Amino acid sequence: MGAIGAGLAVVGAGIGIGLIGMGVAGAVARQPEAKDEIRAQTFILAILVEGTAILLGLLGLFIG
Amino acid sequence: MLIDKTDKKDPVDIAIEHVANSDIHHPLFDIPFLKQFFFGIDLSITKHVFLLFLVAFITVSSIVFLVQRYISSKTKIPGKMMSFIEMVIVFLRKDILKGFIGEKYYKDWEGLVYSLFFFILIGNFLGLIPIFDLLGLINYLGGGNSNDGTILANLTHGGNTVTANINVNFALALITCCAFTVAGIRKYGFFKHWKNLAPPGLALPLYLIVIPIEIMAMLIRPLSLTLRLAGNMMGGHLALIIFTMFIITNANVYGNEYSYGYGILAGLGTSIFSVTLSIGIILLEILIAFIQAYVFALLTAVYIGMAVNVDH
Repeated sequence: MGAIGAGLAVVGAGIGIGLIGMGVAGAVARQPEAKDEIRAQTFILAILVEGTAILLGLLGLFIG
Repeated sequence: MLIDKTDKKDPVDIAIEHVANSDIHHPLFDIPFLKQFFFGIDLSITKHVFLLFLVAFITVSSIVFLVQRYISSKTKIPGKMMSFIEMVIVFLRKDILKGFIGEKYYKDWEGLVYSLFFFILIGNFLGLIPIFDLLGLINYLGGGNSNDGTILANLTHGGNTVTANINVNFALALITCCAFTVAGIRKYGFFKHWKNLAPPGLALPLYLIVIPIEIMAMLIRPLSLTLRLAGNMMGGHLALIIFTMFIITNANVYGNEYSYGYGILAGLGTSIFSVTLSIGIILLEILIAFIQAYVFALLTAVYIGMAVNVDH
């Protein structure tokens, strides 16, 4: 069960990071001059999503 | 981690031991007399403690040496390494420090962010160089055993990456935690800093919900910093060792005492698949080593910036 949970966590994080990437691509295409600010914000959001995924993945693997 | 015929272990146990914390039962230097001063805590130097010393030594000697030599030189022409350090520091200062802490206060926290970045970067990269596996191989070829208690044998127990150890990362995260608390207190004073955590002007019942949430958010920051770095560094090595273990498991499945040939053939066939995948993962790990060091420095700056530049 734990392995399934870890897999589901990765699926969720994948969707989340994919949506962030979509937004970034669109934003940079619309406003190339704001590239640096967008990149900094992207990193923070992607890190938050990824941190959740890693936390849940480790929990799933070690507890389940 | 080398598999010797003397201890017949499960491949899964070997894989776990490859990424686990170095345990106290295999100390490099046993220092039992320190126990009586520290309430019975064993302070023997294990592999990861030794690696920490090594990382600190490399950080201080390489970075400080290069920068000092550059400063004292008359021509002020940076060499190859110095150009790289300069590039990284300019990037960190422009994007992270000035962007998140602000022009006014970033000078106070420059040293912390650069030190954390280079320390974690060198720690991550030391884990990617298979020094200890090579030492284990030398020990094995010389007729040694991974459990015979020599320094060379003890070096093969536990993971290679010091930043995959949760204790190390928690110590680093606590430094960050102290840093943003101190930053807030220095700017706003002790009581104002804690008041800044919750936004002003809410209705009284809402504060009953907001204040616990904000306190939890603050306490969870070091935890998430710890687990992110540890999970990322551990994950790559776990994937590497599992891909390598495929060779051994397949050789064990297809070969037995009566027919070694099938086992060797299955192992060789699997090794094409596993080695290709391992090379890919190693390249990904080099990228991740940079990104995680960057992320730790970035989050330190973001948290300090959140404590210093309160919007409301």
